[in-house]
Amino acid sequence: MKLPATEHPRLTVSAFLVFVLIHAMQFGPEYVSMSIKPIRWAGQDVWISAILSGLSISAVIWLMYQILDRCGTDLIHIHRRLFGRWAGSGLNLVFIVYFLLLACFQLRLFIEVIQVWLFADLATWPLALVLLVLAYYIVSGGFRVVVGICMFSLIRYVTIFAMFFPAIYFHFNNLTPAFDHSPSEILQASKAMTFPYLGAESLLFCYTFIKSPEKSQKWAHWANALTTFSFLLILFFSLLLFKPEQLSFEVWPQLTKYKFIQFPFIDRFEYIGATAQILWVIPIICFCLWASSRIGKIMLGVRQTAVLPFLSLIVFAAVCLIPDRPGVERLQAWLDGFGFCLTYAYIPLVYLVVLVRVKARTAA
Amino acid sequence: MNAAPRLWKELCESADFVCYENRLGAFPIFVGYIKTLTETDVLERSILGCLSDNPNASFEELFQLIPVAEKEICEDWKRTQDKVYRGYVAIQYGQDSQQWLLINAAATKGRSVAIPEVEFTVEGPKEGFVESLDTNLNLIRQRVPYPDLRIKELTVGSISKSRIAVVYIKGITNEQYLNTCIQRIEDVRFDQITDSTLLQQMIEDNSNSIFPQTIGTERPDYVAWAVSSGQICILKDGSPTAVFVPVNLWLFFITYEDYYLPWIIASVLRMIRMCSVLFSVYASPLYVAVITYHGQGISNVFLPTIVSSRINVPFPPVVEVLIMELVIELLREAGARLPTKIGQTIGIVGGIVLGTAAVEAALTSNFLLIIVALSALASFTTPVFRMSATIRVLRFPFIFAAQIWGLLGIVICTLALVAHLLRLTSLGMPYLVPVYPFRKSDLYDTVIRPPYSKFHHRFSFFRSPSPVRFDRKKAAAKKDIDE
Repeated sequence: MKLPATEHPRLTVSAFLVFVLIHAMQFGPEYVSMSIKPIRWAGQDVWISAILSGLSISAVIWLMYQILDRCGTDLIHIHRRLFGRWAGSGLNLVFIVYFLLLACFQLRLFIEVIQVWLFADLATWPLALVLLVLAYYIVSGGFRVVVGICMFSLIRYVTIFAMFFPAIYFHFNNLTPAFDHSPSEILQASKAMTFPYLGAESLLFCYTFIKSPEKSQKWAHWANALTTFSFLLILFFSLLLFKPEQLSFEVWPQLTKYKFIQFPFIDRFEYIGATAQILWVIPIICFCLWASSRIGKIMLGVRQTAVLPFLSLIVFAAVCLIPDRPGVERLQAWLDGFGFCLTYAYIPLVYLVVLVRVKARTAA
Repeated sequence: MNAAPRLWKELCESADFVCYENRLGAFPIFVGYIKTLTETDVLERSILGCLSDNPNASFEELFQLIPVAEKEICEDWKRTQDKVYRGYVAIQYGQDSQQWLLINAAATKGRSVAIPEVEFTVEGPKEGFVESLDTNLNLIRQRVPYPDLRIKELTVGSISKSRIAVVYIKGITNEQYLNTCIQRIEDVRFDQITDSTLLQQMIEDNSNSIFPQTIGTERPDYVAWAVSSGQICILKDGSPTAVFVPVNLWLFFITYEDYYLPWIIASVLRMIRMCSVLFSVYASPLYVAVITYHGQGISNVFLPTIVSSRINVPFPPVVEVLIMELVIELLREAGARLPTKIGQTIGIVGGIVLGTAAVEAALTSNFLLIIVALSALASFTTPVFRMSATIRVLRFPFIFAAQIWGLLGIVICTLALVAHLLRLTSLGMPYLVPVYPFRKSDLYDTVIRPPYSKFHHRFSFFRSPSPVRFDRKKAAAKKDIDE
């Protein structure tokens, strides 16, 4: 059941750019609040949970490559192949909805950060409109431009590494005693960290756009390793700077942490930190719009340029309809649940189906 | 209608056309030429002299006798007409002959080779291109006496009939780029092409971008370098600017003098140039953003300096910045339109008198004056004129964005700029290569200019059929201590 990768070489990206793409997709803006729940469960032992999550995602990446390499095409085509035209299209539709909701969530979260930290009286719609127009411009440049933006967004690490400047405030006592939590607490913390780790599933939809995709697997694992490392860094910063009780009062501890940073010229680094959130958000929004419009293109057999404005409008309307913090949190909880099922249940399931089909073929 | 009378009739409508009739021989010989285009010396000594010395020579004999190398027998009256308008002398035997002898006697008037003024360098050769295509090709050939250097000539423009020369080295230049380039030039539909800068705009991938996608230079040494790296060079007769393609963004911040200086010095200068570009684009938008929205963000040490300097200024920061930017652009524009000496005076009067007066009259803060003057200065460090113009224009959207959403506006604008640069191509080559798509082996000559031992490979993005410049192993024989 091997299909040749159909994309023209002009449209493909080198295998190592999978590293950039997966990392940019995993490391989303939800990292600003990611340390609260896991630390509530596992306290100073949260690093074990982060490593566990990273390892499990690596296993999922291995599964995805098993599926993709066996079929030689992306999930959109695999769906149709395995489940038939109608059921396959239904599944693809679910993924369109998932990507659109993800884009909504990222956009709304970013706008909320800006409204809280920079411009209190900024309305939601103008910023949403401008960012979606920007995303539209990027996506209409094609997959290569989307990956290019992912690569450019890596300069975000400047703000992460700036966290080393307040090192004098670190309380290393917060890290002791080690191994003080039960395995179930650590697993609970791992589960709470699923949402920040999501993003590797993007591979399922852009597989055909990778030059020599079989060679890209190690890059996907490296991307996951870098994400794990970054999350560990952020969790440690949280542990070192806050007591667990303080942390539970925070909404976005990472942004509060930026307040510790001071430079001779700049007094309020959190302005830069909040603005830099756009570098976490834009790549994901662009990829979501690209992936959903591509699924639409293949499902309906129309041009991607025809689907894209329509989908952008849906995202725009949806973002304007999310009024406040509870709305964002409900959406996050929903995406969290869906993402959890997707990574740990759906992908293994598809893998089993592919295996069974291959077995059945060889038997017959 | 008979061709011969028609040819002469149409030519005779021009006042500077001369038709000379020689009746020494058996039948009349007509000599026609345009006197403003021909060299009198060649005409009188070689052509007319030869005619009167051999009054009875036949047409073919005359063709052999005339001591000029560029001559031909032509039977197409249209072509004859075209050639006469290029300075050829047409000779016709008898009243109704359909054959013309065409002899090149074109006068080559023009500047002599001079020092390049726009791309002046302290070190290195001082020859710059002039308007004459043949002189320019001569300057290139002198530097590349290589048998595979090829020159393809094309004619473009329905009125100007401009001669275009495409210069490349066969076996080093990628054929695909070459074909695209020639195709684009052939596809140009325009009547009057006065300069290669017009051609530049017509063959670019995206003509709506403010970023140039070709580089124009007046240095033959730069062209020789570009051609031997695998690029294609386009020259136009009547234009002192040679154009080369394909290019990437980083090439715009390279002056050719970088290659004449020791590598560390050249690299430092190049980095200063690149930083100055960033400063030029971001300085005044950041001023607007910080003063309008993020005043608290500045440290207490620094804030009083800024506040005290603009305490009496009645305008909001954005108006202040726009006024100052416009004044600087005005000075530059006035200086560029006036003769050099008056231009300098205007610069001094405008710069010093206006600047001081504006600060004293509290129309602007002297802090801003420094920022605006520095960013104008920084924009001039870009060696390619079109790019420095781009950078000057580029800061205006940033200023407006900073006024609307402060720092956030600047970041959004930056992302839009990056997206635009990611989408741009030059002859189909990505504009940001080797940074994106990332090519590690090609990073050597972008931000730093490494020593020449690192130049062992041509840039892979030029897709040269022979990517190796020289054998690295032979060149770099390592020695141990005391050997």
